[in-house]
Amino acid sequence: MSLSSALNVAQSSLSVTGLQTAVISRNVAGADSDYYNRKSGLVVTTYGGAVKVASIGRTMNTVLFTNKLSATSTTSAQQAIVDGLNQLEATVNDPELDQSVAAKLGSLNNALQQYSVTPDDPLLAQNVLSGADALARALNQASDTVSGVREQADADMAAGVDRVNGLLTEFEQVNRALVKGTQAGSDITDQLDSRDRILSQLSEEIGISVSTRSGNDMVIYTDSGVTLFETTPRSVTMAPSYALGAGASGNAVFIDGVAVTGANSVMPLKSGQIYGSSIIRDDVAVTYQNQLDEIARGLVEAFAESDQGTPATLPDQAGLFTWAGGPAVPATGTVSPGLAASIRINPNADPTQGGDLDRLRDGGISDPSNPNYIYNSSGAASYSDRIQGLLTALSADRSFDPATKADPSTSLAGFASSSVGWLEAQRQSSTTTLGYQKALLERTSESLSNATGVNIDEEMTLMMELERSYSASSTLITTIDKMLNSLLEAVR
Amino acid sequence: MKTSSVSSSSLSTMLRSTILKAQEKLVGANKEMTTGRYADIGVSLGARTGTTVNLRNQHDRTAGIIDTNGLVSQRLQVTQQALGGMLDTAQNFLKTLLSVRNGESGVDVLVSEATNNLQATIGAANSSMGGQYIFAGINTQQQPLTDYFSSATAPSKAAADAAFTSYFGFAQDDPAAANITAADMTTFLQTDFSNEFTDPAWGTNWSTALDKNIQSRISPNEVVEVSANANSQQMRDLAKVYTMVADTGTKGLNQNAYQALVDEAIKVVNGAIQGLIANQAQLGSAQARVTTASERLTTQRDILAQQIISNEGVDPYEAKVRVDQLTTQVETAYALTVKLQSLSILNYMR
Repeated sequence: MSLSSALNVAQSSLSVTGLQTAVISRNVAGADSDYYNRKSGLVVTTYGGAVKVASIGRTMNTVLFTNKLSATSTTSAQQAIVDGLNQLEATVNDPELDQSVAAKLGSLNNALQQYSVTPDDPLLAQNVLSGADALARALNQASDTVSGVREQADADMAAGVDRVNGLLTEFEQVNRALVKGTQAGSDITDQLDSRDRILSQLSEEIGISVSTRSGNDMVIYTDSGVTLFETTPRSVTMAPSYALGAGASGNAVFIDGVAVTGANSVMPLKSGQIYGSSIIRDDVAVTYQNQLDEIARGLVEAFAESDQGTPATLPDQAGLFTWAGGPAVPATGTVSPGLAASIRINPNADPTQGGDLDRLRDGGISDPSNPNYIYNSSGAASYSDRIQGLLTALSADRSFDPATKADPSTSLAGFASSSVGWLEAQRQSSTTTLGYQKALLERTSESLSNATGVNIDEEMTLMMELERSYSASSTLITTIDKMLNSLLEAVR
Repeated sequence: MKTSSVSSSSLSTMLRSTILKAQEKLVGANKEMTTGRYADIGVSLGARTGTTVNLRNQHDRTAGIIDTNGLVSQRLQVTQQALGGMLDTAQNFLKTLLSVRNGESGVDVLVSEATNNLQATIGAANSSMGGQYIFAGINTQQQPLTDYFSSATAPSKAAADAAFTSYFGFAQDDPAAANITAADMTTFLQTDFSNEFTDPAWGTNWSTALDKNIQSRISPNEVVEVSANANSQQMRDLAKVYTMVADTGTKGLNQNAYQALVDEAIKVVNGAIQGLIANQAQLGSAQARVTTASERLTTQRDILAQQIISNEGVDPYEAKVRVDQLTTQVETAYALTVKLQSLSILNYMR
């Protein structure tokens, strides 16, 4: 009886080895995947010393995994912010290239200085006009860029919301399968891998925290505490805003009817791509747009023409630089949304639009038909008081809206430079933060991978052990067969 | 049970990311080495980028003013030269007047010299630089003085003739001129004739210049005036004295009236000479101010350029060392990748 028992045990060993080899194959196949956790067969001894694979185990490290989820969310939020800032920085570029609004303002100032010394030279007047045109266009383009960045961020948020919804639907199926599998006691390790993968992907878009209930049923909350998934996915919605000009605010993201982005949100998100994009769309780009609008407003104000009659009774009017609300001058010291997009040179000073270059020197750009706005009543060719006045106005301190976060009382050029400073300071700190967070994410992912991933060499050595054990078992069977044979021959 | 502490995927990811990071840094370091400036000024300087943009603005502005100062001082120089010429002419004329008074030269010499001088002075006052009439005040596109001799109907000449005729009752070349008394002559010269050279007659008949002078900004907060103007007293005096001698029937006067005219002329030309010298002194101080301002601005511009470099610049030697280090790092990573690739248990399982 003991020989057949030995045969049984050897047979069970063969089948266990087969199953173990299958597990090793799975491990090797999944070695390259970031979302594959190493599996192992749990071998138990049963009645009579035979062995069997009781269940398939899966290595897991919940602490590291949770850390990885939060590191992923923070990094992708920061990445979105840095990407947005880099796009905004296109309006500044390398200071050496003199592409910024501040640099164009400097060029205009220089052109005016040259013109002030030789006011009867139409070429120099043309030069001033070109400088002014370049400046107005730079402001228009910068404003366009900012709108573009905001629209891109908005599109990214909408895409993020779609992805979250897709992933949640997928999650629902996997979660249901897991709950069923757990009840049935079947191998659920592959579903667990899928669930972790979905969570990882989800954390790129939105900061999440999870908790597991009995029967492997998982509940997902956002990092702000809004329920994202409980048995069924909650609806995540955002109406895309197609055009985001200055002053327009984008739509908030709602989860289950609760706003999670924007100023009015009760439970605002704290990380994830959606959060990062919302910071760019609703905060950073808006502030930068305000700064551009203030520069444009300062320009209109500095170049405005005043009533030259005595006593002066008429209001100031927009001169060389005018805007959508012209010829009135915008209210001082407060942002006038969209001014940077609408600022342009006054056609009355542009010969190609039927204007007259001499008005740069003589005044009367705002209203050529009204003699009250003409500074040079004699019409003398070298009248430079108006140009000198403009140069003084450009270097004079004026007050800007403190909400712009740039220096509120300085010259126009100083404000433009401080706007550049503000943008680059944001960029520097976000880029540095991104560097740290990337390193953290990399470190966490590496630790997690080391703790839960597959080492092929290890699998191969295990396979050699299995091979050994398999041939030993086979030899055992052969030997037992021989022994049984000899026994049977002896009987015969 | 998992026993190993490193997974195959993290092993290869680590090497790959090391190479990628080093390559990224290498691009920046290469750029810094060749340009001597930060690869990404914004990220490197942060808020200080605003300062460097401002510095660049100031630098360009300063350079711009230095340029225009060159033009201003050129204009001052040309004006100085014109004034110098006028002064020489006036001084020579004074000599002639004195010698005529002493009876050393004749009336013909005097009249022809006055005629020439009037032309020369009008020419000098009408001199231009780069298309700008420098004595015209701010009305630089119009010749300031009308040519007295251009035609018989030149307004200045017509007015002078009319003044003479209305006072004496006959024209300058009328023989009756010989009967003019010295007292009559002096009164005429000091009243009706003199009025031709004060406003409004001066502005109507002689000059289109505006009293307002050209002002130029020679430093961010300093403005100088080019104060030579065809309407200034000395210019009027010059025109007056030359016209007086050339075209008040000088040749036909009796000795007493002639003497009175010469005396009056000496008085006027003396005043003009003093005015011209004072004017030259004024311009001289303006020239000095321009020169001082330019020197100061040049120093300032150089300091600004230095500041820009020290703000944006990196040490190229340090960058070179970094490039070398990174190159070594990348090479090591490559070598390790190959090594690790061959380090597999599969190679030994045969």
